[in-house]
Amino acid sequence: MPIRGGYRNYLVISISSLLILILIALPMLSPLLDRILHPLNGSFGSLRIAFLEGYIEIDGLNGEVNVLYDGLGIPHIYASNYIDAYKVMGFLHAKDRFFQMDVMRRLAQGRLSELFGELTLDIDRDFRHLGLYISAEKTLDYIANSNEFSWEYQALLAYTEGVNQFLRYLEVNGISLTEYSLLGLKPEPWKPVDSISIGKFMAWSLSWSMEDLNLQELVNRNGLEILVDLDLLDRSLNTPILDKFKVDTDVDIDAPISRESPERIPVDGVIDILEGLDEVRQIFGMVYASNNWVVSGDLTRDGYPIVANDPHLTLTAPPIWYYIVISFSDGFNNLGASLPGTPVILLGRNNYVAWGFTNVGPDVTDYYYFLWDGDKYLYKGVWHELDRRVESIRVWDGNEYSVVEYIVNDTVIGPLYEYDGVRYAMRWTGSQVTLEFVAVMRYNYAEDIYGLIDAAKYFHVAPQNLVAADIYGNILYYPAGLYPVRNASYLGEVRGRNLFNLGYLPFNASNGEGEWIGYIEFNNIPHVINPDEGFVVTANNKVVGDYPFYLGWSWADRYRYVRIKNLLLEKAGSLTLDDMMSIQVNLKSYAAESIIPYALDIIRGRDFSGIYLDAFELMDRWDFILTPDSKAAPLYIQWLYNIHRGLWGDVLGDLPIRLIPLETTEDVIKRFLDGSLGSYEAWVGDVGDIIYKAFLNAVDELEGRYGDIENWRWGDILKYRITHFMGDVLPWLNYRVYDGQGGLYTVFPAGFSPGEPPYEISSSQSMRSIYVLDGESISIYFALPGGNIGIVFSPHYEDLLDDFVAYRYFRLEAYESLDESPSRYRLVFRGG
Amino acid sequence: MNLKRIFKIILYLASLTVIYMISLDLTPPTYPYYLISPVVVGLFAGLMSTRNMDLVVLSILPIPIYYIAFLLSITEVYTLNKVLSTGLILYIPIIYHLILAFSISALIYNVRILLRS
Repeated sequence: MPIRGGYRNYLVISISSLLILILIALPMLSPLLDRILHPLNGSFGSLRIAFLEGYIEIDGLNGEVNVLYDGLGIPHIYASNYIDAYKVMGFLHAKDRFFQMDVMRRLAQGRLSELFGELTLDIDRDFRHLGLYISAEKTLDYIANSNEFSWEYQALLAYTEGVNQFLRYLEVNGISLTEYSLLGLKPEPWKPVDSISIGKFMAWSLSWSMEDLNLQELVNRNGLEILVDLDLLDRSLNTPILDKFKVDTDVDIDAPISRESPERIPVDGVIDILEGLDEVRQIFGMVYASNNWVVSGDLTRDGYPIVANDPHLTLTAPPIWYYIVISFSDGFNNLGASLPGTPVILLGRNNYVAWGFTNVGPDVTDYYYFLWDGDKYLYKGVWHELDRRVESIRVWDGNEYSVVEYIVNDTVIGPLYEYDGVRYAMRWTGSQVTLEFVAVMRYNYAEDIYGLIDAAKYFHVAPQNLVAADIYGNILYYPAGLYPVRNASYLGEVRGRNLFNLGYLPFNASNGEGEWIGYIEFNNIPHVINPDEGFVVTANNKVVGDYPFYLGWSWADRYRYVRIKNLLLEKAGSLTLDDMMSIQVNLKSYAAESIIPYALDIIRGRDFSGIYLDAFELMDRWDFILTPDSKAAPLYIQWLYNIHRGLWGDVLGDLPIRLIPLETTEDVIKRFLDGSLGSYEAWVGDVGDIIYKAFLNAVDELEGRYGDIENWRWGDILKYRITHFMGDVLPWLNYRVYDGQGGLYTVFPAGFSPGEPPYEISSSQSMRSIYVLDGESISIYFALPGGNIGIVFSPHYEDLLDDFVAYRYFRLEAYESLDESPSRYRLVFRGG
Repeated sequence: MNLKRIFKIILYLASLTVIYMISLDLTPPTYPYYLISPVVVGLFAGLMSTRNMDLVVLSILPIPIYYIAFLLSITEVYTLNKVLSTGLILYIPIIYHLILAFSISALIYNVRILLRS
């Protein structure tokens, strides 16, 4: 039958033509649509990398390098020399975590807008202002030109080459990583300064602070008396890591400079500017909290020292840490948690030593004001012109780059922060050449604790509480770092005491105040080798009690420290690996134990009924453990927050609540019960009434949001919601959501901002590691909140998170030979 | 429908799927090159279609067949679930290519009819 044309054909032709035109035009109108329209190689490009195995050619390899990925997605590198090992390490870091590395280097260098456009322009301005990339470049230059560090420099170059070999592999094979496909960009080659920048960023996030300005504003509003009355500087309620440390030098602070400036020094506006930077630190970085401890063989059942470490950092998808094992043909092994973007195992062990860090949190940032004449400032008797720095920031708009210029004014001390005529220069120890990269590289190859000590001399910023042990039975604590020694300024007599600004308030630089006259000598930094007690615990608490130098004032409350110490002492002499694990995941709050019974006593006898009575009884019988099933935990958190805010809200105003330690609140409550508030009298209102109302409001808040007490399940209110950097836009990049547990002061912590539930845990243990130095097996027991591989389609993207939340550990071992190593899949690298 | 016809349809579908797959592999993943694959499939289907637009309709099938084959090639359950969870990022290219291939094959088929009539 012949086919006949008709109106239907014309209709179909018209509609088809229109559809075709629209479909062809759409990608031109929408860059995002354009990027996803090539199936598979576009958005799913990373699939090809997720299961990569076989032979890979890398230029310049001296020998064959085998990499076996075990069942946890952890690569075991078998190499004959360290240059080859670092090249392959760079390749693997890039293969499994390139986007994360890229974000971190750009964050440090103020170049995030080259990926994310205007969304991140403010962050870039902040980091250009800070000038982290300048100090990274100075540091790299110094290392590159020092014969002393040629080994470390060669390792860095090899690592860089490995990263770039991976990027070349992508190009040659026509593979586009998922994140870059979606952004419409190509990965940029890696440079050695990028690794140093990442190290600088980490150091910055752990040590930079704007607390001097916050404290000054607190003084502005309340007078210097508040510093003494609330014991904000000495922190005598805090339990130090070491009771005392004797130095071998005379420390002279007898000739401080009198403060001629008025007591009230404006900081408004500048605080607002720096709060943006502080938020970045909270989001990306690293909140300064962690636990570690080392026990000698005298305290363990099997007679071997054990090191335990759980650094508390922002939880991210993928995690900050990347576990790796590097085994050399001579039998030397290095294993542990590496930092993607850098060729170091930052926290780990080798055949001989194991080490861990917690953040010291000392005062290594100072703020200075000057006498001004227009734009000239007076410093050391000379009028200086501001040094104008023009920063050009490239901003990606989806199709092309535009350039935004940003002007920074630098003083000889550091960058100037200015708002409405209020100007402060900032000085931070990390702004200069610092060699912590060298230190950690040398930790990796130390052969006993004395090798670690030698290496620690180069650990400049951010100072870390290094605990370590070796297979010979030695244990060590050394909070190595650069601690400035300043010209103090005399603030005056306050409550009968001569008060000196040792670094916790801004200085008048024109007056010579606060000049950094040097750093505490390495040997005079408080430390201990093989302490009589047989163990050392650190949890960001005060480093030392009786000690002549100023280290800082903003220490973490003692609660985690005391809990850990008590648990170790309970079983001293018979401690086992299992004991260490159970301590690391302990959810019993020493803060709750120290405060709640006393707070309950204050309100006991009040007329409670209905849900208030039920809540009181719930709190009264609570065991202080913040499990996911706990109904008392949310009430505790809310009540404690209300108490703290209620007591200090008037003196703080809009200043951060962290300025006043929880220990101070604890002391107020206990003194109130004793009948004498002492120096707190002038600052708090009716304590009994505050605590009572805080309780009622906490119950009201929870009932209003969740109804009956039966619904107050902690794990329903607090969640692990661990997100990818692009997770807001692409939620499938985020991890699954889990019920939360723990609190702000538990050993296994949950970092969140209390006040308005529900809560999301932003920071917690970024990993847990335990090392047993028995001189035989070279292994680590660990847990990771996520997965080792950062490729979203990899089965190892989040496979360890279940176990992390459920307190389970894995064993990572360095095998003696390739044949012993269990292998899920294998890569063989050969020279090209 | 007899066996011969069924066999012909299967052969036809397989050919179109192979054409789609090869043209995807050979073309750069950028605009306008990724349009080539559905256009080629649509052209082929439109030219080969004989009556009742049956083969024109079938022209949309190579694209989901290709994706299903891709999904079936994933042996890891986690990976498969993750790919499926990408939502629109997975489905938009399928729908886009499908509509484009169908539109082209329908256009060509109907133009052929008009030219003959």
